[in-house]
Amino acid sequence: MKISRRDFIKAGAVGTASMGLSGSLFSSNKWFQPVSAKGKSQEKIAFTYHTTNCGGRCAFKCTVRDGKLSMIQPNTWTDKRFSTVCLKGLSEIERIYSPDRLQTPLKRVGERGEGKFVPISWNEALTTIADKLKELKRKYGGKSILFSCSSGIEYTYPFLPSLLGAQFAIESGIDIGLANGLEECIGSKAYGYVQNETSDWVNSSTIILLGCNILETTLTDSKFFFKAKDAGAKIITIDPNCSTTASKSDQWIRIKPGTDGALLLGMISVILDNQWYQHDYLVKNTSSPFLIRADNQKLLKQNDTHEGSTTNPYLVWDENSNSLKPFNAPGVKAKLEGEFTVDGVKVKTVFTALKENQKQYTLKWAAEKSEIGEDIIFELTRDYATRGPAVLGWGFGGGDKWANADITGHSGGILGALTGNIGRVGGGVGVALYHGTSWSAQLSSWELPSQFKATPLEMTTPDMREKPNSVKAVINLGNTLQQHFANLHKTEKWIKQLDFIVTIDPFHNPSVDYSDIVLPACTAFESEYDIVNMQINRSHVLLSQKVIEPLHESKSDFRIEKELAAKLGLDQYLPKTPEEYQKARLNSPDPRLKGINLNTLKENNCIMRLQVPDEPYRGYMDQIYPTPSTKLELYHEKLAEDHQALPTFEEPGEASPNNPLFKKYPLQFSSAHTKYRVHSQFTNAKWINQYQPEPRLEMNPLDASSRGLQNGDLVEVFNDRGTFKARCLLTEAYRPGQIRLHEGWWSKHMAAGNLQNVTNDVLNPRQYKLRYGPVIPYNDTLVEVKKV
Amino acid sequence: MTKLGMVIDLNRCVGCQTCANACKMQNNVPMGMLWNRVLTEGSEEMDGVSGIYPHVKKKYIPVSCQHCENAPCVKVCPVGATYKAEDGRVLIDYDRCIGCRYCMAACPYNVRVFNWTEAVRHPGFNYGDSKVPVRKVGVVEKCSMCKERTDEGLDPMCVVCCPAEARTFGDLDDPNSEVSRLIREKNGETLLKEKGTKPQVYYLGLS
Repeated sequence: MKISRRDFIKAGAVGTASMGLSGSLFSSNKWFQPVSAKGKSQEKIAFTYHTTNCGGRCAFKCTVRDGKLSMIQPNTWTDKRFSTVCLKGLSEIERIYSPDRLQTPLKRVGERGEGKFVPISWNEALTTIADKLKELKRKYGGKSILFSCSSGIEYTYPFLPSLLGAQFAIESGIDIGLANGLEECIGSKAYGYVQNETSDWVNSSTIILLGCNILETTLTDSKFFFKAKDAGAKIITIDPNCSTTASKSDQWIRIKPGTDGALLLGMISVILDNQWYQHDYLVKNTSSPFLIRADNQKLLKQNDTHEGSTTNPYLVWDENSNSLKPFNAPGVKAKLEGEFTVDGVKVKTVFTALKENQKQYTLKWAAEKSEIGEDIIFELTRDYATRGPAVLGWGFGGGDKWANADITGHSGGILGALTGNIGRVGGGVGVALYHGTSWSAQLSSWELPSQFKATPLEMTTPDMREKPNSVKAVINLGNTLQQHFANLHKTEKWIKQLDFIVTIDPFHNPSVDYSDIVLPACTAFESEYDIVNMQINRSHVLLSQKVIEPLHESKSDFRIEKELAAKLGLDQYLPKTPEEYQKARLNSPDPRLKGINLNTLKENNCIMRLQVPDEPYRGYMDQIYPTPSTKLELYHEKLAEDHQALPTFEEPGEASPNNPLFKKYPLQFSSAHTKYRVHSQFTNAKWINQYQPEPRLEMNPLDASSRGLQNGDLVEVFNDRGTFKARCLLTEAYRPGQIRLHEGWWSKHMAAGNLQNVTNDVLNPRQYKLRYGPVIPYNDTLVEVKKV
Repeated sequence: MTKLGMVIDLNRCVGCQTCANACKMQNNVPMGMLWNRVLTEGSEEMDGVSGIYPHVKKKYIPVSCQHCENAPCVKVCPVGATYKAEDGRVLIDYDRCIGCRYCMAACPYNVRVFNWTEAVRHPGFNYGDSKVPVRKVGVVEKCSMCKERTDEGLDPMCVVCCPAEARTFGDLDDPNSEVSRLIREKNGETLLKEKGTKPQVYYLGLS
């Protein structure tokens, strides 16, 4: 590293040099006055944790001085490796006192979206909401009300949707693109998280991070990354751009955006061609020996008119008897490969079909698609398949938000199965962020009388903008109107024709401006109650206490739900206090919760480890999967008519050179997650804005020079859906052809528009059949950029 | 003797700015006056890289007072406000500081900040450790290696909060301390060695 003194002097972007020499040195008469110590103050300590959904789950020891949150330190976890914080947690010292706080309930006086409000009393606000909801329920039924919840809301109004018979949505179509494919193999419903805890990485020989920027988006897990590296794991990051994670890995492989699936398909072929697969694992633990009927592409079962299961077993070709047998019959030795004729119908094993399907996906093909060298893919595959336990980890913001993500996820599941890396110490396939996998326990729930039931979500919320549905009112918890939909102009048309919109949040976020009534909620640090919330995370139970009194006229989410229920005449069914609620949840027979109650939690800094083994959590070590067959299911019958029973590559929905639109809009636009924010939260945190004060459109200098752009120019990003404006930031970290604006910036921070004006909202019809429904392909977006 | 110092492992530093915010909070540092800044090699923009795509490197380097053994700031201070404490820290006696800023000119690391006007704080009150003295207009301030914490046997706040465990604090004079071991075994280096300032902050993975 070559560093000169000048480097330090000019590096004043945040700090000294930029303070300049303004201000008169001699104008102050205060210099010679002694520095006084702070006066005597009252201090107290309280414990809470970060509820917002970065997944870092910092737990805080808070110092409150004279009623003000003055200091945040990492609380001490039983497992001290989790005793940490990051810049976002620390920035709460300022953020909770932000001028962007909603201070009183508001009533809209201008047009929706205009942002004109007048303050009203809580009584007027709650009465207005309750009257309107009662009227809608009477006229159209509870299903006409949609609770649309941001992922950063911890207290998700668990009772009102049931009391009203309303619909409830959280993140429809988000973070599930890859999970759709992977979990069809595994049978789980866990947002596609890896099977093993991140702390198990020390047992891995190879860790492949595919579009997974853990060192920026899960800062609190960065120590596990380095521990794995220290323990000898080879960490390979595949990313179009030089992310921090790429820069700290043993190898950075650059991939063409939108081709993650092509790379994984190529890897499958390399494994098959070189016979690096685990034959016995495939026979024993996967559907590889199941038989596919040539006539209808269905799997052969004992009774073909019913769905397959352990009681209507799939059939395999038994080597011992040279005949068909149920896959789960005792003593059966299933053939992995082969074609057979059964009652005049040709059948072949899933594995044989996979081999045939993979013939089109040669190493050369994968290299051309992904723009990664053949030798690099070959070595990558060898590292993955032959060096021992290996992780294939991905994120939510890379390959996930593309129309072809399910194919990538499916291919990942097959790679894990071929190499025996699912249900293995040091293995795992899936989302490797947010410490999403750890020991857990079953909390009890607070039961409402049986007449109160929420209406199941009629359709994925993006479709509510276009398809006939029952929703007349939206209760927006957080900032879902900006964040949970691509193509904001379409969203605006929808929300402008709704009967009623309420937003409940601590901050005046962009969704607020569309709302008829706005309620100011407390942050995670404020409450009227001494006990506030509780959750199980990272194998511990975390309790949150009141740190400070509610600021301004805000109320806690618990209190708001309670008071709204009272206006509806239904609050008698709710717990009286959060303490009563949390006590009820802890009143569980689960042995992992033994000895953990509110008293013992308070005695232990509000954190206690579950009664679980002192080792990383590892899933499916018994090789029993929640699929119909209990095996890893590699062949997805229901997608046969879509030609996706086995993964078949598909170009991105929009951001592909094969798309005629590419001529007009040749740049792929990505709106990735940043360490500086959690989606749209912390966008207004002044302590963080020191480092990233404004939205900057990142692009490679090559893409800039061909458009006559210089670093810092104000540019317009546009496509047929809309436009936004921001200053550009030229960086060699970024792959030519792809541009990026970190997601979450509020409209008021933009030079003009909102990044969601351009994002792609075209859903992939095939994915309606999958467990999470279609993914919103935010990153599968083409744009052009021009100087303003 | 005690010679307090720190080791920062650049192979682990992920540039997250947690240390910068931790320091700001602990020491009640106002807006625009960070005591601890995270710089990026090869770029004047935050989070930049050096090189040309795809041959690029990303390297963060947190910089705060280096607590030099041969501290130029101490030498130039006309009133003895900046001094070398017995435990090896470079400290400022805010009551003696006359605001001449010779120390700022002398420091090759640009780690000192000056209170030109009344401090602007968001939030608008004195946050952080109540034992940290409040600085007035016209004085220079900088990292003290969290004197108020480390005097009580605690680690500096940047060390406590670093999520990547990149920072270690300790006594450089004790050959058995973790800092001494890291410097010895992992080739700890100092910034601007040629200046002869003998910093007590060492970096791993600097060259």
